[in-house]
Amino acid sequence: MTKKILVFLLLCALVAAVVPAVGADNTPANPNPTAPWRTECSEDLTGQTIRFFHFGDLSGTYAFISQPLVAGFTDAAAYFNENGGLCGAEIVQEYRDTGGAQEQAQAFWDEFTALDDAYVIFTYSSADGELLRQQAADKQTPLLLAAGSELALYGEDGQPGYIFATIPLYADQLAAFCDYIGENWSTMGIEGDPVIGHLSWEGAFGRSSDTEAARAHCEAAGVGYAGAEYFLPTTSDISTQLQTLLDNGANIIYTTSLASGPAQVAGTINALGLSDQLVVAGPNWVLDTSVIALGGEATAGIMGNLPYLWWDELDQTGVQLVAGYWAQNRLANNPEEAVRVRNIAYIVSWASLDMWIEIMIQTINEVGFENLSGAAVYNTLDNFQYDALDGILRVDWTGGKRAVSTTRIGSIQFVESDAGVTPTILPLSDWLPAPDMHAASME
Amino acid sequence: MNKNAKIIQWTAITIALALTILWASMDDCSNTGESCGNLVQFTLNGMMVGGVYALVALGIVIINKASGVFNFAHGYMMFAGGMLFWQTFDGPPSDTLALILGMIAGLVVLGLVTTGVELRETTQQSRMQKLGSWLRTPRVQIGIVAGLVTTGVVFILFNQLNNDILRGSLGALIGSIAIGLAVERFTIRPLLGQPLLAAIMMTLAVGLVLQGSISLFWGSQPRPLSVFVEPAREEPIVVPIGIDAQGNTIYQEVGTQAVPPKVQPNYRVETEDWLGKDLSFQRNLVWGFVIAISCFVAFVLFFEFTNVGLAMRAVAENQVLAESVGLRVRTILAVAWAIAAAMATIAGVIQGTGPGIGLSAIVIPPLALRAFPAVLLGGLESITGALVGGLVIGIVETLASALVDSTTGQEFAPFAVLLIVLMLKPDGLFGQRRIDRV
Amino acid sequence: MLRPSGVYDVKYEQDLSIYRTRVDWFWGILILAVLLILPLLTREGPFFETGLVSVSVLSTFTRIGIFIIIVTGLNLLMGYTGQISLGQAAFVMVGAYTSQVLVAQKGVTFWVALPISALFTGLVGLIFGIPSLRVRGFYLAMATLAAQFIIPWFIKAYEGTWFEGGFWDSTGFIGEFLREIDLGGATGKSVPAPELLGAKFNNDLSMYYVVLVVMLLCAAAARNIIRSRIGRALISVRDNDLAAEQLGINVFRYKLLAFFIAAVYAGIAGSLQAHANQSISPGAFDLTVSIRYLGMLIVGGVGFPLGATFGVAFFFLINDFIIPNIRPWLQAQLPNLLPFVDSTNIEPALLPMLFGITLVIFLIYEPRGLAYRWALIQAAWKLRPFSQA
Repeated sequence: MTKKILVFLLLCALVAAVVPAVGADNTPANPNPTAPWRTECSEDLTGQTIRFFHFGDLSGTYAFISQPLVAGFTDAAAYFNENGGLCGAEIVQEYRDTGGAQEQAQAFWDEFTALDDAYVIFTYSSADGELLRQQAADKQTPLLLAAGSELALYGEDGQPGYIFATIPLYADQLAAFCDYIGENWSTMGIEGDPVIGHLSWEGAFGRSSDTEAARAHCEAAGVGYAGAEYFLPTTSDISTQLQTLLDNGANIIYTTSLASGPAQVAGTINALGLSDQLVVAGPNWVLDTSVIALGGEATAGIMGNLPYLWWDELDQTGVQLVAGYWAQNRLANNPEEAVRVRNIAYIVSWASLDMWIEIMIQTINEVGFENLSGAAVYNTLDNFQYDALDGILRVDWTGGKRAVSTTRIGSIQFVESDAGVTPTILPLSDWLPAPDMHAASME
Repeated sequence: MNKNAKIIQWTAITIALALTILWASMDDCSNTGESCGNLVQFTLNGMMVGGVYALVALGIVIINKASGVFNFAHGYMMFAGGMLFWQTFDGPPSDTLALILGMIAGLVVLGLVTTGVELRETTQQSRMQKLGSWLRTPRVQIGIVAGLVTTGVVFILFNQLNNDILRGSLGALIGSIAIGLAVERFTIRPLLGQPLLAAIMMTLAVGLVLQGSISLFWGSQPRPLSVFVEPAREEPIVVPIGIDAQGNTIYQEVGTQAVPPKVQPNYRVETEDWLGKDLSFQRNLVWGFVIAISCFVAFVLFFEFTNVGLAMRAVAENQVLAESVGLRVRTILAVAWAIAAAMATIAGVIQGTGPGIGLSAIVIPPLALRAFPAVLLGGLESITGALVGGLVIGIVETLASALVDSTTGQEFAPFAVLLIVLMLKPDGLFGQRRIDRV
Repeated sequence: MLRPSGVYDVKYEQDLSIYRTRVDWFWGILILAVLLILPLLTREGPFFETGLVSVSVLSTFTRIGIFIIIVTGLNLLMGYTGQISLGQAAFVMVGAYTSQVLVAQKGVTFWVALPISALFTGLVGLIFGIPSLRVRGFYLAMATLAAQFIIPWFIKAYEGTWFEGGFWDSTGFIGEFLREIDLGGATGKSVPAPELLGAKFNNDLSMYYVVLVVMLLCAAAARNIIRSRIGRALISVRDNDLAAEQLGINVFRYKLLAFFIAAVYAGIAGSLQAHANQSISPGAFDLTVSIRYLGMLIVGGVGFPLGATFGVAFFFLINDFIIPNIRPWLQAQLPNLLPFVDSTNIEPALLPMLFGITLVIFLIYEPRGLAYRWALIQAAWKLRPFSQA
């Protein structure tokens, strides 16, 4: 154990040695070192170490999110450790890569849950959540997912379990999108009534938006349905699937995919010359710099859910903090790599770590550091409401909810300014409720 | 001549079949509720997609023809080649890189020319003397000159012409040929004489090693390949990093490379009056199709009319016999792997340059798996078969996606074709009938 | 096979016996005893509560046991019959889903569902084994590759509504049975824990015993298949099928039988895996998993009784022991040695690289695998001090 810590310290020292502080020209206003948005600690844990456990897919389908995610957690841990730690205790990150293989997820779950101090574990894919749902309940170890499927969060019997998601369910996101479209369609300048056609990746993730309940909700909001087509990420040409949807009258192409998925959909539509007749939309993953980096300017105008704050909302303390740290420590050091990690995952990982700290503080305040356990953390989570990092993530799991239920609608835009062009993601709406499709399907 | 006649006959039959399907579908497309233009478009889309499959299948067939190994690592060779392309395409011109690539190319040429040069063994020779007599061999001298010339040509081409596509292709082709040769030399050659299982496992293991190396060198984040795009915008790309005391946003430049420009529109064919709609084709696929056809023609010419091609056919026919008449079998196997690796790279780049697709582990390597049915359909040892098989699988996949549903078309149809071929005609449409039947 | 000096086979049964000497018996019983006692030494264990053994060790052993079953089946097919299968993971999937349907949807108890799903998987294996009637070697590998894609497609696409209408209505309860099945499409399903006389097998301890017993039964069955008439027939098909046919062995039947047995083993393992994880998901059984099983068998030793055990153990050694221990060191050192390597890229590269390189080395230098090495070491030990190895 001490060896691991030593190696980690060595790593930190290495990073510190390699990353020199940069000139103060561009330094933004100094972020507040204390975190006033957090609960105060009742115990001083200086000298202790608390480990933060997470595992996920660093090399498979979700590769584009996990690498920035690890970078984000590393930076956030370094920053928070410098600024008070967790009630004074040092935060140490334990990370494993599953490569998208469920056996590996199972192996790391076993490895972590066998330890005494894995009170709560973070992971990212809903398939891993489904795999571990029952085991999490049996071992009384809560699992925090980035995005969960209904099955992972509520099971087949519809009961809330030990798994919590930090963004809305994909079906809920679709419902929120339909609500927005229903009200704002006239401003979008496209002929006819709004009709959604799904053009998503084949697989559990791609099929998670288009549920019966979400379809009914959209119909009620005045948005029609033109069917669903699925394609494998390795498909060379998706214009056949697209054409089928267009023939059914779709004028909104909703793609539940990520990275190259939305980029391919937008790119194909652009190459066909249909950009001004169609809206491309999707869940939160389509609004990301990885999509822009692959699809380029063809992605301008893609709409989607934005259930967290984005990098450009610099009037928020949390965003200032993250963007400032990134500019000082990553951009100045290795611009190419820095641009690649500047995405959803980096900013959300900061917020997630802050949220984890808050969860641990609340639990420690409740039961004391000596009595920490998975069940105690669960009790905290079951009644947890928090604006992580001053609002970057807004979590509310009270009342048996297991996923976040507020979101915003945003879109990818290329903003011109005196300095140059900024490809960015701007919110189009204020915070909206994401209708609970799980509850709707239970009725 | 008999064989040529057979190939022509089969090609004619296949084309006729495709045309009949096309014509038939146009004739009663009103019945199926699809517009005629759509069906023609879908069939042609399928052919274009089939071009990519044909490129992959060609690479697999060439290796199989020469060394009798079915290359399961082909997908990762595509990915590695694509990444090499990205590396040299995306980067600025560089003298160091040009020199390294030139030297690799020179060494490859030297190695190919001099493989199998044997020296008269005398026990009294020191190492220096051996080197001396090796250097005096005429073939080695030719090899050295050819290697130096290649180095120079690559160096000049890479640096002088300020053309990033040429630079990328040069880097990718040289790099992937080196990879192909290394794979052949270090993993496949030691297995000569081992059972089939060992060869299959070896290519799978090579795939794993390549997968690991790619993620070690390049990480796992997708890379864009902006080849078929409009000219890049001139303005700098900036990101906001903070707010100054007056409340103004502070921007920092991150270079112009951070965002690829818009994709170029598809190629269009004006057929509105005739089919009811214009036909349009993805640029990268059209190029892939053209390259697949040219590769096919080039190979047929190469096999029929060059000495190396003749030697390759002889090696494919009977390795032991070829060796006993003095053909340099090892060189020929190496050449086959080098060609196949280059083909894999072309296929990888064609796939990666699709609109918004780019290079990533979930986009490139699985494509090779989907080309396996094409290889089997055409016949394991037939160049013609690879082309026809690729096109047929592409058409089947696209039409099934359009007419039934996309899941059936993408996940089921190609492999159903594979199973049917195995049951009815395991040697494929053009394969040689030398299957061990039991 | 070397025998210790002084042990003579005077009867045919002795020649065939698995445990030939008292030392063999001693080791066999000792290993069994250790395996049986292991869970009692955990903190959660019923008696000692010592915490000597961590629960995660048990869970790892459970997974090892399931893998051994799968690879043993593969060994019977590839090592003893010489048929190549690239679709073993798909058959595991069939076993897992069948078990889920029977236990969760049809109310069958796990203990009955386990053999039924094994048999059903065997039948599915037969369907895809039929091409082996016509082709062999590489083409068969391709047929199983098709299985690896078509089976998951079928499970994901399955809909009860396929079985509505004329013909299926006339079949009565069969149509109804099929209509009521829900395979969950592209998402997973949860699986209840096995129950026996009111006791629930829902933790690492209890599942460990279930898997251990089933694994021992499977291993014993494999041993007995190999040394019986069937095994000898399979080996003769592998070595020379024409000669085997001349000897009066029905080559088709034995090939299909080998396919059936391998699929049955996969089905058993699938059922166990579903209940141990208490969930199934269609993404967990893809080609990479099949390749991993093959790799384990190659490393362990194709055609050796201990091959499966060695191979699986070696894989877990790399994955659960070597990689975690070298990872931090590599992450700290490698970026210094190779400046173009980023330290976050090391983690995902480790397993494919290490496993791939191990495979390459084994294929070139020891294609007979660890089990053969082990036999050599044993022989050297027995011949000491006259050994040559």
